[in-house]
Amino acid sequence: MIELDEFTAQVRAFLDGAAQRRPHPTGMVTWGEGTDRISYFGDEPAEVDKANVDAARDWQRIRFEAGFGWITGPEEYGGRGLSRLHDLAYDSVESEYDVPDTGVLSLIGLGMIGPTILEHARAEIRDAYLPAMYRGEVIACQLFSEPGAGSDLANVQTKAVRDGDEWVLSGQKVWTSVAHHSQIGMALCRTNPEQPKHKGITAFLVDMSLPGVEVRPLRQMSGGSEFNEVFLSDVRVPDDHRLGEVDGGWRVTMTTLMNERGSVGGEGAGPVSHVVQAPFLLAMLAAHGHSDDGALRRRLAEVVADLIATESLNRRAVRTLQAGGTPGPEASVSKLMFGSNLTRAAHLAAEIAGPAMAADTGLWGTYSWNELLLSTPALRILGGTEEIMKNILGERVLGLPKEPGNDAKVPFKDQLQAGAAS
Amino acid sequence: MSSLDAETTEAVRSSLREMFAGDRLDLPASLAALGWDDVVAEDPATATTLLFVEHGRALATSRALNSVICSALALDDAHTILLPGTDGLGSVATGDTTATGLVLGGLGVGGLGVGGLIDGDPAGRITVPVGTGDGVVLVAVDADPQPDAAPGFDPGSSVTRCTVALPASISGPTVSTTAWAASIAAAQRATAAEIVGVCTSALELAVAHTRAREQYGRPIGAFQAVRHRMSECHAAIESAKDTLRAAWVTTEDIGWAATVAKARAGRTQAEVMRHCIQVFGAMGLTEESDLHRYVTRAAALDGLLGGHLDLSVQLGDALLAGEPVHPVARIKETT
Repeated sequence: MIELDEFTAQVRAFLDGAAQRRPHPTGMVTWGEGTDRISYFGDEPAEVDKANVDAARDWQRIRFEAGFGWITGPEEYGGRGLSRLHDLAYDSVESEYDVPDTGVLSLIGLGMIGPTILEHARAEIRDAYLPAMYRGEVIACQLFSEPGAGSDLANVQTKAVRDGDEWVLSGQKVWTSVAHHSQIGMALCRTNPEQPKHKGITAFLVDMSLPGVEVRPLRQMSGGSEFNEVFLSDVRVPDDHRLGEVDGGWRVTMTTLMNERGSVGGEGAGPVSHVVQAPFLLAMLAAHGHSDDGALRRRLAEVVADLIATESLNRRAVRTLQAGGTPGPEASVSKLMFGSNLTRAAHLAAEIAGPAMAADTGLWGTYSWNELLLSTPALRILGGTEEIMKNILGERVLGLPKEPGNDAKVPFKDQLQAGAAS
Repeated sequence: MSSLDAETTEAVRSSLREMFAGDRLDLPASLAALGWDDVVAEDPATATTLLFVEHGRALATSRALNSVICSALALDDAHTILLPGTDGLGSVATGDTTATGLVLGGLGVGGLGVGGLIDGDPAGRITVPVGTGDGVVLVAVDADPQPDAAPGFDPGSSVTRCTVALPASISGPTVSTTAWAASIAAAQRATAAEIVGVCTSALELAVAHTRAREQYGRPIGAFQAVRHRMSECHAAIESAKDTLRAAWVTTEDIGWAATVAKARAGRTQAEVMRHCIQVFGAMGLTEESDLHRYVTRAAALDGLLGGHLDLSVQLGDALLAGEPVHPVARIKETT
């Protein structure tokens, strides 16, 4: 394996040729300079959104062609076969350059579904999709949540019925991020209602262009529309697009979810990391004349301390992976802290700005926090609610008994008859 | 002053609820039909609180808050008062050439268009309180109004930011700083009641949701993590109501008491909305559920006449200084 120093030099050479350095190294903030857009979710109008997606695809292709598109991926699929440390080294160097945000591809598709396909799909499906995904051509979404299956994901009711070499899928999915940009979706379906809920689920890769797939946007409180409802009406999926065993979908799902918690928690502040950091918040405190306010200083220090702690936690998780471990329940801690850090940072900003944040007075870096403020409740819900994360920690890390209830033992169909599934 | 008995209170509450449930609300006409002035004369605390709680519950938009200030200042209801500053607690002093602040009341479709404020002063004038050595002069200025900022946080809100030009020499009816402070206190009490109403409705929605929504084979309200949140909301709302009741029975230092009530109500909405939105899961984040309307309205009301964080700082400062504080006293300090 290539040494980290040499790898980093390669990364720099590539980025020097392909991108511009940011005017300031990360961490430097000049108050009032540059964009003050503070948005976790894509809340732009459709045409801007599309241009951003195109830019993300282009940048991912350039990375891939230069050998940086899937640093930890196997070489046969265009990956580099390197470690998570190499991956992190790349991210760290790239953050010094002004490059398009590739979240639309990477967070779900490349971060969660790619690894799931690699582990659970058959060879021809891996060949068909993995290089295309990491080259930026194919965006993937999770067809997981349903109106009756949120926190209780194993309660999915979308049906898949076998018909020769195909499966016929019908049902409704909801809260599906990036479905409107996706070429494929990973769908969890009920294939065996005779079994308890976790044991009758099968996972499929669904080509989103198939007849019967309909995507409808949902509008968010923060203004944009990044979530969707996805209706599946007699969608015919070939059996070779099945992931894992028939009725073995829950194990496949765990691969995805463990990567999700790592992915969501591990990205730090993601698209808002330029503001959720000590120098920016410090500059904001000064700009609003509150540098000497003891209460705000204490709050700032608390937020910064937790940001540092989370970063350290994420590094420790990487070292665990490095030592051959798999993403474990500690990813839940990371996810919890991620939601809490961004929420507290947004509330701190609201407190610093005071009433000036209530109306758009054109004051730089002030009203623009509203979008994040209105998005923070989502961060405590997406990728597993705080309640679920805490239950995982309680049961799997602390060894507490499970919450009472036996719905995991009764056949799914009996649960439905009892009116237990909404 | 007498007080309404329980039966009458209930009758008034249900009349108000019915009124706010109506399609096109003409608040002054509807209140007149209810004989509202008599109800207020009988028991101003109960009547005002009932009115604004129901106003909040229904997410109504009206000029009611403006009327509270007018009534406290013994002004005709047609005056549209400009509350200075981004939160309505600022000040305008002699010599200022413009005044920026908030106007309360429904602006209707078309906003501040030809014909002035909808339902407001037909001449399209705005009344600006200007602090002088002798008291607060209420200066009527031509509005020539264009709202100078988007309503911001709550698109359905009945608060708009305006800037108006002030004449070189100011004149108008003068009220004492104490009277002005009393009118602001009355508006803070009304806003606190409205926040309580918004929170009450949001909690009802959340409780209904946690009773109906099933995960893991039972209603999510059966899980302690969820039901404790609902209990905390209830406690926060009851605490806000009691603080507000206390603000009404205080005879001295009503400004201080009203500020405490407004601060408590503001903190209540922060707690209640945080919990309610969490138990709604992803539904509460989108326009699929009505909850977002309560979240944004409550936040907008919190920001009006002093947000709870700012008011807490003020109250703390005042306590440390060893004296109570009137809004106008504070206003002077900040000019």
